[in-house]
Amino acid sequence: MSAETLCWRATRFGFMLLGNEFALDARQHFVEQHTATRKSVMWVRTGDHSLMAGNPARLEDYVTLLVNHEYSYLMRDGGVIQIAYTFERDRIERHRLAYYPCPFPITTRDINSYDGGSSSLLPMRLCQMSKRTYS
Amino acid sequence: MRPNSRGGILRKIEREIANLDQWQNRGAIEYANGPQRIRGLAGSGKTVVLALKAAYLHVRHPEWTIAVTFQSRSLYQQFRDLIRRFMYDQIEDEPDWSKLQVMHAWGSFRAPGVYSTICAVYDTVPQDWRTADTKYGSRAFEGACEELIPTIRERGPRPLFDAILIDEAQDFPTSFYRIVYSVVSPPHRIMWAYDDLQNLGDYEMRSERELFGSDDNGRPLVTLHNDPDKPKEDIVLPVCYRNTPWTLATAHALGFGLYRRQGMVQMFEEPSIWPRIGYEVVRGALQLGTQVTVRRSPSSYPSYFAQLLNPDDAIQCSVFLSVNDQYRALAQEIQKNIQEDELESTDILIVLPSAYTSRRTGASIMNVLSDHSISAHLVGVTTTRDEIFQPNSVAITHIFRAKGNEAPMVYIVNAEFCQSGFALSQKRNILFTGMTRSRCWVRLFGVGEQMQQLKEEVDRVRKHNFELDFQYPDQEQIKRLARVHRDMSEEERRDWEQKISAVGDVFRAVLDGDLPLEALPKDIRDRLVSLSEKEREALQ
Repeated sequence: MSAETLCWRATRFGFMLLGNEFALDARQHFVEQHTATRKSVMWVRTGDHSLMAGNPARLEDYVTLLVNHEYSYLMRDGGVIQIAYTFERDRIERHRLAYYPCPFPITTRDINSYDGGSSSLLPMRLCQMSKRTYS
Repeated sequence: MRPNSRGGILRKIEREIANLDQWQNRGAIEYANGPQRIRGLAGSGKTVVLALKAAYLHVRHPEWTIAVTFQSRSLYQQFRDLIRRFMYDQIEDEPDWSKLQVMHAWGSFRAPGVYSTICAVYDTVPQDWRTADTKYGSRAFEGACEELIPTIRERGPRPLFDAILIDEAQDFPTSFYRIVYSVVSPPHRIMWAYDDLQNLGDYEMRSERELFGSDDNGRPLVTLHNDPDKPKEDIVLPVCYRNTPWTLATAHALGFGLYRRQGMVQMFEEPSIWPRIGYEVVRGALQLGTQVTVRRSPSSYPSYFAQLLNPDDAIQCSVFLSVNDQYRALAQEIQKNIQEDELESTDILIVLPSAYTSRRTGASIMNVLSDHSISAHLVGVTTTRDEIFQPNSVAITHIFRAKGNEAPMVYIVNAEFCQSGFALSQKRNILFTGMTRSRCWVRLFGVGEQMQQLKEEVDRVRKHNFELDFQYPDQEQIKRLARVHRDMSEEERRDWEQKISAVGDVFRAVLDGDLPLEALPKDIRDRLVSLSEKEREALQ
């Protein structure tokens, strides 16, 4: 499978998840040409954030992923999935297939409250925990 | 960049807004030595005026401690930039940020806010958001401030600031004003900027008495006067810089349903609100039960809109045969915006009127945009309302998240959602809010017959040359409109849907010959006739 096809499928699959409410969010993926023969497939990123996380990941790692939108799909239960590949010609040279389970329960109330516009979808208090802010 | 591309036009408009001279020359920055209220529509420049006032006071009284505060974190940088620019303009010097303190209303461990600073001066531990949220839910800030009031009352006022300027004043609880009053030294230079009419149906403005309360003898602590030859204490900013006059007039026409086939949806109870929000009477009179024609007053918008934009391009309304046709057209338009019109992805905002289907709709739209190699994202899933835009990506947001944000090009898709049905006031408010997010161009997209009807309303506004011509309803009619089109709970809506479905079964049985017409009692038949006449009249 070419990088382009894989990219297209990763994106479409995410939108399928989102459209059927299996996911809370899905990001587009894109192909980046590094050299004449080397390409990568990645979700669209908003900045050059570090993707390193400890093992096991901490709550702060999880929240940072969310705040920086560093995921392919954010599942309905808050689980985070990352899909990224590096191709050398048509051969997969590296991959990142990561799953971070959500460290706290996401309730229907959280989702409804987001739909009703009163809060962000994921409880702000968890973002606050990692940022240590009052508001 | 081509000067006449959308991108080129946008840059010119941004330059005009950023030109500080026009602000300094206006009476709006006049300074009263005491409390002062500033009101205006969203986009009337309240933030700029507050920043100018802050800088002016800082230049005149560098020894004063002045606070500038707000709710949206995005305003922090905006205030600092504006104040700095103004200072360099005036005295070519950097503000002393230890005396002129730009701070969030609440505060954090890293950066003090007004609330946390007041707590510190009263030796009280400030509540963090989490604790207050657990205790008070959506009233977290109100509760936190309220808890502080008895301590302040017991220990008396402790002057902390010589002046405080509050932006987004409508979003602050009354208890915040009460605690602020105690820490601003007499003559209590508190300046607060209030958004007039964020929502068509919600135009209650808390009076100064309500905000600050009364003394032991029942006398209000703060009263505002506009006396001749004295600086005004209650300032109205009449010019709307955010929206073109055509967008605003059309948004009001649609919001109220003024040209709706089936009749008006809602109306201000007070006709006097119209001039306050920048309208002038062309014909008739702004009185209950009277025919009137109003239009945006020429003094209510900056002249560059008419020089740089035209109404036909500023507002467009398109009807599609299918949802997929609509999304394809949307993607093509956006592609054109980015590739030919020289707009950035971040200049574009897609607004979805129905919050409850926003993820599903968003997924469909992103799918089609992806086919056109356009990056897009859903707003607010994991971030706050302040962070709506992401680099090189078109923001897709449901209406509640769009509030308080703006973009030069706004697409409202599936706009037919706002055309009819239950809770029409709320749906029309959605349309109004969506349209008024646009700084230059707005596109209403939708599908089918309902959208066609909405387009007719838009066309009629255009045909009337953006004048709003209507019979002002009387008090009784306004109340009836509010009742008919009120917001409904899920339960109430379901109940009505069941009743309507049952009535439908009866009519179907009569029409199919399963039930004689005479089986319906005469009074019901009479009401049916009168209903059908009413419908015919509406369609004529």
